[in-house]
Amino acid sequence: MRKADEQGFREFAVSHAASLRRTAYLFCGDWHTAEDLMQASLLKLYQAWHRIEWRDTASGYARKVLLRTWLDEKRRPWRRSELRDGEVPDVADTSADPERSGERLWARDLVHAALLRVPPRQRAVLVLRYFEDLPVSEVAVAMGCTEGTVKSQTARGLVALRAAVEELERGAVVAS
Amino acid sequence: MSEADLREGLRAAVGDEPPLDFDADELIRRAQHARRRRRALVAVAVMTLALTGTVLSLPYVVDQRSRIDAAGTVLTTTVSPTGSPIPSSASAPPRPTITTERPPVPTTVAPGAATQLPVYLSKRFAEVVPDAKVVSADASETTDAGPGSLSAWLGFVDGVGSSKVAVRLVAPPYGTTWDQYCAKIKCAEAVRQEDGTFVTSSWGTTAVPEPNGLMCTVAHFRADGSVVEVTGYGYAPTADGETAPGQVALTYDQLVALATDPELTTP
Repeated sequence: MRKADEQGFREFAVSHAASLRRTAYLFCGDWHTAEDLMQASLLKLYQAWHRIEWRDTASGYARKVLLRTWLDEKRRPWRRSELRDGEVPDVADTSADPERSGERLWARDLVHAALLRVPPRQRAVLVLRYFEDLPVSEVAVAMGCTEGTVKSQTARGLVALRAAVEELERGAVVAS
Repeated sequence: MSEADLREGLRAAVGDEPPLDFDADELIRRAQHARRRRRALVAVAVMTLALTGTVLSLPYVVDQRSRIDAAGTVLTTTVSPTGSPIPSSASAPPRPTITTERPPVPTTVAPGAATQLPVYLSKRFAEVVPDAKVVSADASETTDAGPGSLSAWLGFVDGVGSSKVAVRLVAPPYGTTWDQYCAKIKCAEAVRQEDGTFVTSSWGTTAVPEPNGLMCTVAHFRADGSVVEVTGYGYAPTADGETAPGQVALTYDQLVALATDPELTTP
Protein backbone atom coordinates (compact mmCIF):
# COMPACT_ATOMS: atom_id res chain seq x y z
CA MET A 1 0.00 0.00 0.00
CA ARG A 2 1.26 3.48 -0.81
CA LYS A 3 2.27 5.84 1.97
CA ALA A 4 -0.59 8.21 1.21
CA ASP A 5 -3.13 5.40 1.30
CA GLU A 6 -1.66 4.08 4.51
CA GLN A 7 -1.84 7.49 6.09
CA GLY A 8 -5.44 7.83 4.97
CA PHE A 9 -6.29 4.49 6.51
CA ARG A 10 -4.50 5.40 9.72
CA GLU A 11 -6.50 8.60 10.08
CA PHE A 12 -9.73 6.79 9.31
CA ALA A 13 -8.99 4.04 11.84
CA VAL A 14 -8.13 6.46 14.61
CA SER A 15 -11.22 8.56 14.03
CA HIS A 16 -13.67 5.68 13.68
CA ALA A 17 -12.35 3.07 16.09
CA ALA A 18 -14.41 4.27 19.04
CA SER A 19 -17.70 4.54 17.16
CA LEU A 20 -17.17 1.14 15.56
CA ARG A 21 -16.54 -0.38 18.96
CA ARG A 22 -19.72 1.17 20.37
CA THR A 23 -21.78 -0.19 17.52
CA ALA A 24 -20.12 -3.57 17.93
CA TYR A 25 -20.95 -3.49 21.63
CA LEU A 26 -24.62 -2.94 20.91
CA PHE A 27 -24.49 -5.82 18.46
CA CYS A 28 -22.84 -8.32 20.77
CA GLY A 29 -23.32 -6.96 24.29
CA ASP A 30 -19.73 -7.43 25.41
CA TRP A 31 -16.95 -4.85 25.33
CA HIS A 32 -14.18 -7.41 24.84
CA THR A 33 -15.93 -9.02 21.92
CA ALA A 34 -16.70 -5.56 20.59
CA GLU A 35 -13.00 -4.70 20.71
CA ASP A 36 -12.19 -7.90 18.79
CA LEU A 37 -14.88 -7.17 16.22
CA MET A 38 -13.61 -3.64 15.72
CA GLN A 39 -10.02 -4.82 15.26
CA ALA A 40 -11.05 -7.61 12.87
CA SER A 41 -13.17 -5.20 10.84
CA LEU A 42 -10.34 -2.68 10.55
CA LEU A 43 -7.95 -5.45 9.48
CA LYS A 44 -10.34 -6.44 6.71
CA LEU A 45 -10.76 -2.81 5.79
CA TYR A 46 -7.00 -2.40 5.47
CA GLN A 47 -6.85 -5.28 2.97
CA ALA A 48 -9.50 -3.58 0.83
CA TRP A 49 -8.35 -0.01 1.28
CA HIS A 50 -6.73 0.16 -2.18
CA ARG A 51 -10.16 -0.13 -3.77
CA ILE A 52 -10.98 3.50 -4.13
CA GLU A 53 -14.52 3.27 -5.44
CA TRP A 54 -16.03 3.27 -1.95
CA ARG A 55 -13.42 5.56 -0.37
CA ASP A 56 -15.93 8.41 -0.16
CA THR A 57 -18.25 6.29 1.94
CA ALA A 58 -15.64 4.50 3.99
CA SER A 59 -17.60 4.74 7.22
CA GLY A 60 -20.60 3.07 5.61
CA TYR A 61 -18.37 0.35 4.24
CA ALA A 62 -16.77 -0.07 7.66
CA ARG A 63 -20.21 -0.53 9.26
CA LYS A 64 -21.01 -3.13 6.64
CA VAL A 65 -17.78 -4.99 7.34
CA LEU A 66 -18.43 -4.79 11.07
CA LEU A 67 -21.92 -6.19 10.71
CA ARG A 68 -20.74 -9.05 8.50
CA THR A 69 -17.89 -9.81 10.85
CA TRP A 70 -20.24 -9.96 13.81
CA LEU A 71 -22.78 -12.14 11.99
CA ASP A 72 -19.98 -14.47 10.90
CA GLU A 73 -18.62 -14.58 14.40
CA LYS A 74 -22.05 -15.28 15.81
CA ARG A 75 -22.44 -18.31 13.57
CA ARG A 76 -19.32 -19.92 14.97
CA PRO A 77 -20.18 -22.88 17.21
CA TRP A 78 -18.13 -21.74 20.21
CA ARG A 79 -20.12 -18.49 20.34
CA ARG A 80 -23.52 -20.17 20.61
CA SER A 81 -23.17 -21.48 24.11
CA GLU A 82 -21.60 -18.36 25.55
CA LEU A 83 -23.87 -16.58 28.04
CA ARG A 84 -23.03 -13.86 30.52
CA ASP A 85 -24.93 -12.68 33.56
CA GLY A 86 -24.29 -9.08 34.43
CA GLU A 87 -21.12 -7.15 34.01
CA VAL A 88 -18.96 -4.92 36.18
CA PRO A 89 -18.03 -1.67 34.45
CA ASP A 90 -14.34 -1.24 33.82
CA VAL A 91 -14.40 2.41 34.86
CA ALA A 92 -16.73 4.59 36.89
CA ASP A 93 -19.32 6.62 34.97
CA THR A 94 -18.24 10.06 36.16
CA SER A 95 -20.88 11.86 34.16
CA ALA A 96 -23.70 10.06 35.89
CA ASP A 97 -25.94 12.09 38.11
CA PRO A 98 -25.91 10.43 41.56
CA GLU A 99 -29.58 11.22 42.08
CA ARG A 100 -30.59 9.62 38.80
CA SER A 101 -27.89 6.99 38.57
CA GLY A 102 -30.13 4.22 39.79
CA GLU A 103 -32.80 5.06 37.29
CA ARG A 104 -30.28 5.40 34.49
CA LEU A 105 -28.61 2.13 35.32
CA TRP A 106 -31.97 0.43 35.38
CA ALA A 107 -32.97 1.95 32.02
CA ARG A 108 -29.61 1.14 30.49
CA ASP A 109 -29.68 -2.45 31.64
CA LEU A 110 -33.28 -2.87 30.65
CA VAL A 111 -32.83 -1.65 27.07
CA HIS A 112 -29.55 -3.44 26.65
CA ALA A 113 -30.79 -6.71 28.07
CA ALA A 114 -33.94 -6.50 25.99
CA LEU A 115 -31.92 -5.71 22.88
CA LEU A 116 -29.84 -8.83 23.36
CA ARG A 117 -33.02 -10.90 23.21
CA VAL A 118 -33.92 -9.57 19.77
CA PRO A 119 -32.82 -11.75 16.81
CA PRO A 120 -29.43 -10.71 15.38
CA ARG A 121 -30.48 -9.09 12.11
CA GLN A 122 -33.39 -7.24 13.71
CA ARG A 123 -31.01 -6.12 16.45
CA ALA A 124 -28.59 -4.85 13.84
CA VAL A 125 -31.35 -2.89 12.12
CA LEU A 126 -32.42 -1.32 15.42
CA VAL A 127 -28.85 -0.33 16.31
CA LEU A 128 -28.13 1.13 12.91
CA ARG A 129 -31.38 3.07 12.74
CA TYR A 130 -31.78 4.26 16.35
CA PHE A 131 -28.20 4.41 17.59
CA GLU A 132 -26.31 5.32 14.41
CA ASP A 133 -29.34 7.33 13.18
CA LEU A 134 -28.84 6.07 9.66
CA PRO A 135 -31.56 6.50 7.04
CA VAL A 136 -33.29 3.41 5.72
CA SER A 137 -31.33 3.52 2.48
CA GLU A 138 -27.95 3.40 4.24
CA VAL A 139 -29.11 0.65 6.56
CA ALA A 140 -30.18 -1.32 3.50
CA VAL A 141 -26.69 -0.88 2.02
CA ALA A 142 -25.03 -1.95 5.25
CA MET A 143 -27.33 -4.94 5.63
CA GLY A 144 -27.13 -5.90 1.99
CA CYS A 145 -30.91 -6.02 1.59
CA THR A 146 -33.75 -3.90 0.21
CA GLU A 147 -35.24 -0.91 1.96
CA GLY A 148 -38.51 -2.78 2.32
CA THR A 149 -36.70 -5.51 4.20
CA VAL A 150 -35.14 -2.91 6.48
CA LYS A 151 -38.56 -1.48 7.29
CA SER A 152 -40.09 -4.85 7.99
CA GLN A 153 -37.11 -5.92 10.08
CA THR A 154 -37.34 -2.67 12.03
CA ALA A 155 -41.03 -3.19 12.75
CA ARG A 156 -40.46 -6.78 13.84
CA GLY A 157 -37.43 -5.77 15.88
CA LEU A 158 -39.42 -3.12 17.74
CA VAL A 159 -42.17 -5.60 18.50
CA ALA A 160 -39.61 -8.10 19.76
CA LEU A 161 -37.85 -5.42 21.81
CA ARG A 162 -41.08 -4.27 23.43
CA ALA A 163 -42.01 -7.81 24.25
CA ALA A 164 -38.59 -8.36 25.81
CA VAL A 165 -38.84 -5.16 27.83
CA GLU A 166 -42.28 -6.13 29.14
CA GLU A 167 -41.02 -9.54 30.04
CA LEU A 168 -38.02 -8.08 31.85
CA GLU A 169 -40.20 -5.57 33.65
CA ARG A 170 -42.38 -8.39 34.88
CA GLY A 171 -39.39 -9.67 36.73
CA ALA A 172 -37.82 -12.11 34.35
CA VAL A 173 -34.20 -12.88 34.87
CA VAL A 174 -32.01 -10.41 33.05
CA ALA A 175 -29.66 -12.26 30.79
CA SER A 176 -27.13 -10.66 28.63
CA MET B 1 -41.41 1.85 24.57
CA SER B 2 -41.23 4.70 22.11
CA GLU B 3 -38.51 5.26 19.56
CA ALA B 4 -37.20 8.14 21.63
CA ASP B 5 -36.92 5.87 24.67
CA LEU B 6 -35.09 3.36 22.53
CA ARG B 7 -32.63 6.00 21.35
CA GLU B 8 -32.04 7.16 24.88
CA GLY B 9 -31.66 3.61 26.10
CA LEU B 10 -29.11 2.81 23.45
CA ARG B 11 -27.12 5.94 24.27
CA ALA B 12 -27.22 5.01 27.90
CA ALA B 13 -26.15 1.43 27.17
CA VAL B 14 -22.78 2.59 25.90
CA GLY B 15 -22.36 5.08 28.74
CA ASP B 16 -19.98 2.84 30.65
CA GLU B 17 -17.64 2.51 27.71
CA PRO B 18 -14.16 1.52 28.84
CA PRO B 19 -11.23 3.61 27.62
CA LEU B 20 -10.08 2.75 24.14
CA ASP B 21 -6.50 1.64 23.83
CA PHE B 22 -6.20 1.66 20.08
CA ASP B 23 -2.83 1.68 18.29
CA ALA B 24 -3.24 2.23 14.57
CA ASP B 25 0.41 1.42 13.83
CA GLU B 26 0.12 -1.91 15.58
CA LEU B 27 -3.06 -2.65 13.61
CA ILE B 28 -1.33 -1.79 10.32
CA ARG B 29 1.64 -3.95 11.25
CA ARG B 30 -0.68 -6.89 11.94
CA ALA B 31 -2.54 -6.29 8.69
CA GLN B 32 0.71 -6.27 6.72
CA HIS B 33 1.82 -9.45 8.45
CA ALA B 34 -1.49 -11.11 7.63
CA ARG B 35 -1.18 -9.99 4.01
CA ARG B 36 2.33 -11.43 3.71
CA ARG B 37 1.19 -14.67 5.28
CA ARG B 38 -1.77 -14.93 2.92
CA ARG B 39 0.41 -14.32 -0.12
CA ALA B 40 2.90 -16.94 1.05
CA LEU B 41 0.04 -19.37 1.57
CA VAL B 42 -1.28 -18.74 -1.93
CA ALA B 43 2.21 -19.18 -3.41
CA VAL B 44 2.68 -22.45 -1.57
CA ALA B 45 -0.73 -23.66 -2.70
CA VAL B 46 0.00 -22.80 -6.33
CA MET B 47 3.39 -24.50 -6.17
CA THR B 48 1.85 -27.57 -4.57
CA LEU B 49 -0.81 -27.75 -7.27
CA ALA B 50 1.77 -27.33 -10.02
CA LEU B 51 3.99 -30.02 -8.56
CA THR B 52 1.07 -32.36 -8.05
CA GLY B 53 -0.06 -31.84 -11.62
CA THR B 54 3.44 -32.49 -12.92
CA VAL B 55 3.87 -35.62 -10.85
CA LEU B 56 0.49 -36.96 -11.90
CA SER B 57 0.89 -36.18 -15.59
CA LEU B 58 4.50 -37.33 -15.97
CA PRO B 59 3.78 -41.10 -15.93
CA TYR B 60 1.10 -40.57 -18.56
CA VAL B 61 3.50 -38.66 -20.84
CA VAL B 62 6.26 -41.23 -20.38
CA ASP B 63 3.80 -44.03 -21.03
CA GLN B 64 2.66 -42.36 -24.23
CA ARG B 65 6.23 -42.07 -25.51
CA SER B 66 7.12 -45.62 -24.55
CA ARG B 67 4.00 -46.89 -26.30
CA ILE B 68 4.99 -45.11 -29.47
CA ASP B 69 8.65 -46.09 -29.39
CA ALA B 70 8.39 -49.63 -28.07
CA ALA B 71 9.86 -52.06 -30.54
CA GLY B 72 7.73 -54.82 -31.89
CA THR B 73 8.47 -58.44 -31.26
CA VAL B 74 7.88 -59.80 -34.72
CA LEU B 75 8.35 -57.27 -37.43
CA THR B 76 11.70 -55.73 -36.60
CA THR B 77 13.30 -54.49 -39.80
CA THR B 78 16.12 -52.47 -38.31
CA VAL B 79 19.44 -52.65 -40.14
CA SER B 80 22.77 -51.07 -39.51
CA PRO B 81 23.29 -47.57 -40.91
CA THR B 82 26.08 -48.83 -43.16
CA GLY B 83 23.69 -51.06 -44.99
CA SER B 84 25.13 -54.36 -43.84
CA PRO B 85 22.34 -56.64 -42.76
CA ILE B 86 22.17 -57.84 -39.19
CA PRO B 87 20.45 -60.95 -37.93
CA SER B 88 16.76 -60.50 -37.40
CA SER B 89 15.63 -60.11 -33.85
CA ALA B 90 12.40 -61.92 -34.58
CA SER B 91 13.61 -65.05 -32.89
CA ALA B 92 14.93 -63.21 -29.86
CA PRO B 93 12.76 -62.80 -26.77
CA PRO B 94 10.56 -59.69 -26.67
CA ARG B 95 12.65 -56.70 -25.71
CA PRO B 96 10.68 -53.45 -25.71
CA THR B 97 12.92 -50.45 -25.87
CA ILE B 98 12.21 -46.84 -25.02
CA THR B 99 14.09 -44.50 -27.25
CA THR B 100 14.20 -40.75 -27.30
CA GLU B 101 16.07 -40.43 -30.58
CA ARG B 102 14.73 -41.06 -34.00
CA PRO B 103 15.89 -44.42 -35.30
CA PRO B 104 18.39 -44.44 -38.15
CA VAL B 105 17.00 -44.47 -41.62
CA PRO B 106 16.70 -48.08 -42.82
CA THR B 107 18.14 -48.86 -46.22
CA THR B 108 16.84 -52.36 -46.64
CA VAL B 109 14.60 -54.85 -44.94
CA ALA B 110 16.23 -57.19 -42.49
CA PRO B 111 16.37 -60.83 -43.59
CA GLY B 112 13.52 -62.77 -42.07
CA ALA B 113 11.17 -59.82 -41.73
CA ALA B 114 9.48 -60.65 -45.02
CA THR B 115 8.88 -64.19 -43.85
CA GLN B 116 7.77 -63.25 -40.36
CA LEU B 117 5.20 -60.74 -41.58
CA PRO B 118 2.84 -63.28 -43.24
CA VAL B 119 3.09 -65.54 -40.21
CA TYR B 120 2.16 -62.80 -37.85
CA LEU B 121 -0.53 -61.41 -40.15
CA SER B 122 -2.17 -64.83 -40.46
CA LYS B 123 -2.30 -65.13 -36.71
CA ARG B 124 -3.56 -61.60 -36.19
CA PHE B 125 -6.08 -61.86 -39.01
CA ALA B 126 -7.62 -64.93 -37.40
CA GLU B 127 -8.13 -62.90 -34.22
CA VAL B 128 -9.67 -59.90 -35.98
CA VAL B 129 -11.82 -61.90 -38.44
CA PRO B 130 -12.59 -65.13 -36.62
CA ASP B 131 -15.07 -66.37 -39.25
CA ALA B 132 -12.49 -66.33 -42.06
CA LYS B 133 -9.86 -68.88 -42.91
CA VAL B 134 -6.52 -67.77 -44.30
CA VAL B 135 -5.62 -69.73 -47.40
CA SER B 136 -2.52 -67.89 -48.58
CA ALA B 137 -0.05 -65.38 -47.22
CA ASP B 138 2.92 -63.72 -48.81
CA ALA B 139 5.13 -60.69 -48.18
CA SER B 140 7.90 -58.91 -49.98
CA GLU B 141 10.02 -55.83 -49.74
CA THR B 142 8.50 -52.94 -51.60
CA THR B 143 10.42 -50.17 -53.26
CA ASP B 144 7.67 -47.79 -54.29
CA ALA B 145 7.39 -46.46 -50.75
CA GLY B 146 11.10 -46.28 -50.04
CA PRO B 147 13.63 -48.61 -48.47
CA GLY B 148 12.65 -50.56 -45.39
CA SER B 149 9.03 -50.90 -46.45
CA LEU B 150 7.11 -54.16 -46.71
CA SER B 151 4.00 -55.33 -48.53
CA ALA B 152 1.99 -58.41 -47.66
CA TRP B 153 -0.98 -60.22 -49.19
CA LEU B 154 -3.36 -62.41 -47.35
CA GLY B 155 -5.93 -64.59 -49.12
CA PHE B 156 -8.85 -65.86 -47.11
CA VAL B 157 -12.24 -67.52 -47.38
CA ASP B 158 -15.24 -66.70 -45.25
CA GLY B 159 -18.89 -67.67 -45.31
CA VAL B 160 -19.57 -65.50 -48.37
CA GLY B 161 -16.63 -66.16 -50.61
CA SER B 162 -12.93 -65.63 -51.11
CA SER B 163 -11.09 -62.33 -51.00
CA LYS B 164 -7.79 -60.74 -50.19
CA VAL B 165 -6.36 -58.14 -47.88
CA ALA B 166 -3.19 -56.17 -48.53
CA VAL B 167 -0.95 -54.70 -45.86
CA ARG B 168 1.77 -52.18 -46.55
CA LEU B 169 4.25 -50.96 -43.95
CA VAL B 170 5.98 -47.73 -44.97
CA ALA B 171 9.01 -46.94 -42.86
CA PRO B 172 9.90 -43.41 -41.82
CA PRO B 173 10.96 -41.02 -43.16
CA TYR B 174 9.36 -42.17 -46.38
CA GLY B 175 5.89 -42.34 -44.90
CA THR B 176 3.75 -39.52 -46.20
CA THR B 177 1.76 -37.18 -44.01
CA TRP B 178 -1.98 -37.21 -43.91
CA ASP B 179 -2.15 -34.09 -46.08
CA GLN B 180 0.15 -35.57 -48.71
CA TYR B 181 -1.73 -38.83 -48.64
CA CYS B 182 -5.13 -37.26 -49.06
CA ALA B 183 -3.92 -34.91 -51.79
CA LYS B 184 -3.59 -37.91 -54.08
CA ILE B 185 -6.79 -39.73 -53.25
CA LYS B 186 -10.16 -38.78 -51.83
CA CYS B 187 -10.08 -39.91 -48.26
CA ALA B 188 -12.45 -39.59 -45.35
CA GLU B 189 -11.95 -37.27 -42.42
CA ALA B 190 -9.06 -38.31 -40.20
CA VAL B 191 -10.03 -40.00 -36.95
CA ARG B 192 -7.82 -39.15 -34.00
CA GLN B 193 -6.72 -42.13 -31.92
CA GLU B 194 -6.16 -42.24 -28.16
CA ASP B 195 -2.39 -41.97 -28.56
CA GLY B 196 -2.70 -38.85 -30.75
CA THR B 197 -2.16 -40.58 -34.09
CA PHE B 198 -4.62 -40.46 -36.99
CA VAL B 199 -6.49 -42.99 -39.07
CA THR B 200 -8.05 -42.20 -42.40
CA SER B 201 -9.87 -44.30 -44.97
CA SER B 202 -10.69 -44.18 -48.65
CA TRP B 203 -13.00 -46.11 -50.95
CA GLY B 204 -12.58 -46.99 -54.61
CA THR B 205 -12.53 -49.69 -57.21
CA THR B 206 -9.64 -51.73 -58.39
CA ALA B 207 -8.75 -54.49 -60.81
CA VAL B 208 -7.24 -56.50 -58.01
CA PRO B 209 -8.16 -59.19 -57.23
CA GLU B 210 -10.90 -59.04 -59.88
CA PRO B 211 -11.81 -56.33 -62.38
CA ASN B 212 -14.04 -53.60 -60.95
CA GLY B 213 -13.72 -54.97 -57.43
CA LEU B 214 -14.53 -52.74 -54.52
CA MET B 215 -11.66 -51.59 -52.35
CA CYS B 216 -11.41 -49.89 -48.98
CA THR B 217 -8.08 -48.69 -47.62
CA VAL B 218 -7.40 -47.68 -44.00
CA ALA B 219 -4.14 -45.87 -43.33
CA HIS B 220 -2.72 -45.33 -39.84
CA PHE B 221 -0.28 -42.41 -39.58
CA ARG B 222 1.89 -43.14 -36.58
CA ALA B 223 3.81 -40.84 -34.30
CA ASP B 224 7.20 -42.11 -35.46
CA GLY B 225 6.42 -41.18 -39.07
CA SER B 226 5.63 -44.66 -40.33
CA VAL B 227 2.39 -45.49 -42.11
CA VAL B 228 0.52 -48.79 -41.97
CA GLU B 229 -1.91 -49.21 -44.82
CA VAL B 230 -4.46 -52.05 -44.87
CA THR B 231 -6.65 -52.57 -47.93
CA GLY B 232 -9.68 -54.82 -48.06
CA TYR B 233 -11.15 -55.96 -51.37
CA GLY B 234 -14.39 -57.30 -52.68
CA TYR B 235 -15.18 -60.97 -53.21
CA ALA B 236 -13.86 -62.91 -56.18
CA PRO B 237 -16.43 -64.59 -58.44
CA THR B 238 -17.10 -68.18 -57.54
CA ALA B 239 -16.00 -71.07 -59.69
CA ASP B 240 -19.53 -71.77 -60.95
CA GLY B 241 -19.80 -68.27 -62.30
CA GLU B 242 -22.06 -66.73 -59.68
CA THR B 243 -21.71 -63.01 -59.23
CA ALA B 244 -19.87 -62.04 -56.10
CA PRO B 245 -21.59 -59.75 -53.58
CA GLY B 246 -20.71 -56.14 -54.23
CA GLN B 247 -19.14 -55.40 -50.89
CA VAL B 248 -15.74 -55.33 -49.31
CA ALA B 249 -15.07 -58.54 -47.46
CA LEU B 250 -13.79 -56.80 -44.30
CA THR B 251 -15.63 -54.23 -42.27
CA TYR B 252 -14.18 -50.82 -41.50
CA ASP B 253 -13.58 -51.75 -37.87
CA GLN B 254 -11.68 -54.88 -38.88
CA LEU B 255 -9.47 -52.88 -41.22
CA VAL B 256 -8.81 -50.31 -38.47
CA ALA B 257 -7.99 -53.07 -35.99
CA LEU B 258 -5.37 -54.42 -38.37
CA ALA B 259 -3.93 -51.02 -39.28
CA THR B 260 -3.59 -49.84 -35.71
CA ASP B 261 -2.04 -53.05 -34.44
CA PRO B 262 1.01 -51.86 -32.47
CA GLU B 263 2.90 -55.02 -33.42
CA LEU B 264 2.93 -53.97 -37.04
CA THR B 265 5.88 -51.64 -36.85
CA THR B 266 8.72 -50.58 -39.05
CA PRO B 267 11.27 -49.22 -36.61
